[in-house]
Amino acid sequence: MRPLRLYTWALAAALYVPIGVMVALSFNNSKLPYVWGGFTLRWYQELLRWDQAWQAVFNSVVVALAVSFTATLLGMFMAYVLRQDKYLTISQVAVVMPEVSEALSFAAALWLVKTYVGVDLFGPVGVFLAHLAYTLPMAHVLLAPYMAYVSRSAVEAARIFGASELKTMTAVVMPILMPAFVATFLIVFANSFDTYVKTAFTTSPEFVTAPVLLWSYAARGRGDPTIYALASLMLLPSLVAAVIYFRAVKRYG
Amino acid sequence: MIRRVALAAFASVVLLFYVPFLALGYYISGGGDLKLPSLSMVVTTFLLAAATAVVAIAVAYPAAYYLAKYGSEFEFALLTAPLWVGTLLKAYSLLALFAIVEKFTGIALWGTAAGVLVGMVYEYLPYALLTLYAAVEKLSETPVNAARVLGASRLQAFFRVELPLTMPGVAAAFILVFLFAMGEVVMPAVLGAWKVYTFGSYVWDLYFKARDFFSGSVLSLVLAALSLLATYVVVRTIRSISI
Repeated sequence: MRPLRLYTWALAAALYVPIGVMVALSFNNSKLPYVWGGFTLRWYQELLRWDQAWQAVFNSVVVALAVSFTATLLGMFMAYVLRQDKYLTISQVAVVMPEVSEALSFAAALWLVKTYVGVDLFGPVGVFLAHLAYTLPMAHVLLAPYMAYVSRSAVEAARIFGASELKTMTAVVMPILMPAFVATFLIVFANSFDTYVKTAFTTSPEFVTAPVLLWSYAARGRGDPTIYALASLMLLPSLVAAVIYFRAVKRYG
Repeated sequence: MIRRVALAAFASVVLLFYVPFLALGYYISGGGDLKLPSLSMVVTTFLLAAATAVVAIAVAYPAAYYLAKYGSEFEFALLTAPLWVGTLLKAYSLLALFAIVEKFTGIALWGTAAGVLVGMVYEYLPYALLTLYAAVEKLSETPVNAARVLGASRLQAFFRVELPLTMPGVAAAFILVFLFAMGEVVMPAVLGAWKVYTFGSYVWDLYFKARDFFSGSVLSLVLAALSLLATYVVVRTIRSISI
């Protein structure tokens, strides 16, 4: 058991090395990744002055907020009402679908809309819809296990005392599910904020999100301290999501 | 009313996720010149995906075993939290790490299949870990105790009893990781520097460079169909574990 514990801890450490190195490099007072030139906030200051980066982060935040709010809320309704296996299976299949296939099909659909309806949805609307397309089933799948905590008797009691369906949902079901709701909201937010492939297929050249900007450097293999700073900032939603997620889930013990 | 909202939400899943696949059918019915990927590319993708799955499972298994048997909640959180970090961020952080490794050891990983393999294992390890964790957690102590009472050493008991019992979980993890890796775009592009050319990169280029909707649609559908088949197999094996 002792060697196993050591192994597990070594693996955990290894998982954090690349991310840790990148965050360290964003504070490195040198343009070369393998030279430590001392601690600096220079790259963050440069990032502050870089309007395109702020616009990109802002775009990502707006899309991720809209997506996570819509997906989590609707996902909760789905998980609460549609409890049969067939509904869940349809959502599960969507979750494991290969990204390229899904993104290409969405782009193809947007092209058809553009050609035959004459509405060009590529850009913010396309990105929002493409993200919603995969986060809705994701929220459904993530929330479904927590429905076991909503007891039938609590719901029936509320209904017998005269609460409407909507009132029961907001006053009984939602409070019980709040930690799960927050956890799912955060996972969806971090996912939508970080995702690149689906965005690439559905955005327009004018609508740049943070991953799109990061890609323009990453796909050419260009290391740049200002981009390390941007990438380090982009880690924040994921980290906050992970921490709050495990706390929220703990409540159901 | 609540039922109606839920059904509308469900309808939008179908409309947004499944109906676009019909658009692929539209482009396929339009016909065209099918540009198949070269055999060597398919082989590369296949081998890379299989290697990713094998390495990810081999690395994750001992940790999954430990977590399921003795692990604390904190250790579980620590190992699964990387799931929430996006693929592109992981790829970019490895890019920086590769530059440092190359400088100090002389081992060039950027632009090689080995580099892409490292990236994909890094990305899919948590998935393998979670699947294996589920399989080990369901193991009952009885068969192991029986083997121990009958004189098997701890290692013998593991290799002859526990490992065979978790094989369905190993198979499920393999299929899951293999499948994700087959369609992977980001890691080969960023860490393979477009020199390690995979199926995913090919579909990507068909859309972004060649604008060849016909071939892209056909290949996407093939990938999607394979994934459906694999998911079906995974779901069946996972069910058989619980019995």
